[in-house]
Amino acid sequence: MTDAAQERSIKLLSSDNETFQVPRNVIRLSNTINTLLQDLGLDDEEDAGDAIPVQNVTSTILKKVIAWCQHHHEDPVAADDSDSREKRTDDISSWDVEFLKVDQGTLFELILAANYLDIKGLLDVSCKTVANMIKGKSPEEIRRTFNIKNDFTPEEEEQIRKENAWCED
Amino acid sequence: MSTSIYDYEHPAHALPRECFGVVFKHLERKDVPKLRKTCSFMDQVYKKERNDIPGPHCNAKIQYTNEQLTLTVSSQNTKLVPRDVELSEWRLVFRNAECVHLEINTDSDIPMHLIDQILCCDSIEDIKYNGPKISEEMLNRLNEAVQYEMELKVEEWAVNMTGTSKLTKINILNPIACLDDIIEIMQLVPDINVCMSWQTLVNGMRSLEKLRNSQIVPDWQFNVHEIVGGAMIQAASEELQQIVQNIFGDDVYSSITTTNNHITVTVRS
Repeated sequence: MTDAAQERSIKLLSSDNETFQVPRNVIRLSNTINTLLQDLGLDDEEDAGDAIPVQNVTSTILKKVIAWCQHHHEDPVAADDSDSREKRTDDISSWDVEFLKVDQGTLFELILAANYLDIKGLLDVSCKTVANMIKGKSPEEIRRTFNIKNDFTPEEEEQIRKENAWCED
Repeated sequence: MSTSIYDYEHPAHALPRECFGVVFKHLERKDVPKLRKTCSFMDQVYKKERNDIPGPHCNAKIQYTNEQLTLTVSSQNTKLVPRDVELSEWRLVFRNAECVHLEINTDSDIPMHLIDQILCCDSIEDIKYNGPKISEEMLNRLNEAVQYEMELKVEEWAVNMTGTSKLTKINILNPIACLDDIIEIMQLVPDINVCMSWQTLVNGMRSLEKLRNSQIVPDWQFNVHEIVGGAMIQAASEELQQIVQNIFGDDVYSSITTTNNHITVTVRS
């Protein structure tokens, strides 16, 4: 990549109308933005023009997403780990651990933003954090953690209990 | 106005399905069913994403020909290998599990609870089935259920195996217990590594069925070999004694002897 390309930037507009100037090589982690720029023929333009609206993401969250991309944009591309082996949740970098020390609402909004912007690394690490919150908990403890209402009928509950009898405490 | 996650009844459900699909994929195997059990939404996510959720998968298929119902279970052992466990050890365990057949005589509609009985049976008697012919639709449902259940069973197996110590190892050569009983051994004696052939297990179940049908309980030996670690032998023998009593009841004599790192269970009428 040329220096000029690295210096290019685009503007992102959050749902609450705050504009963020983001270097292209940072936001390249978002497949959604990449695709958008390519589809609009703006990928090689010096000036991408108006700010791209990111309607589903608030300024608070978009700021964090950009910070994450800023930190990780030079990371090597992760190998495809789509095989069926159990994935690790204990390999979150200390930076990411600190980054994701947020309240649950923010964490979920980050996941939503990562999903919407298609930033795989951020989606993975934030979902790993949720997985870690679930680790070792009973269903009832998980419900309490995430404020989930048990909406199974007694019959469904019995059926699912049977299906999972092997992991009953 | 855009939808905020706070517009939802609770935050967890604010995540789209695919996000929880990703969460599921990052869970440890033993935690997957726990999240699934929390609510119907999670159950739906699990069912939809199940094929992509890492875990010990197997393929199970029901075939119905000539009024014979055949359940075939095949397993790709490499997918059963959890991290932190040596590949060779797991291959040893599952090499013989490539194909298991349970043949059930049937001439009637198959109730779904039959699958529960097959896979969660307390004894071999529970899997007997005599009913009307099954429809294609029912067969499909059955296939789906079997696939699902068998994955859970394999998962159960794997979870138990994951918790085992490499210091001890049991090779069950001629089991008279059904799958649940074997799993129970592993649950009760988690430090023992159990290796056996599923085909042998099924043969053992068939033999037990014949045994019971004939109302005769001959001498029966249940050999457990290759146990390393004396303390574990004692623990295993006590648990096995209980399991054998549960299978045969109190009106038969059973004993457990341990010599030279071998356990022998003897049952007499």
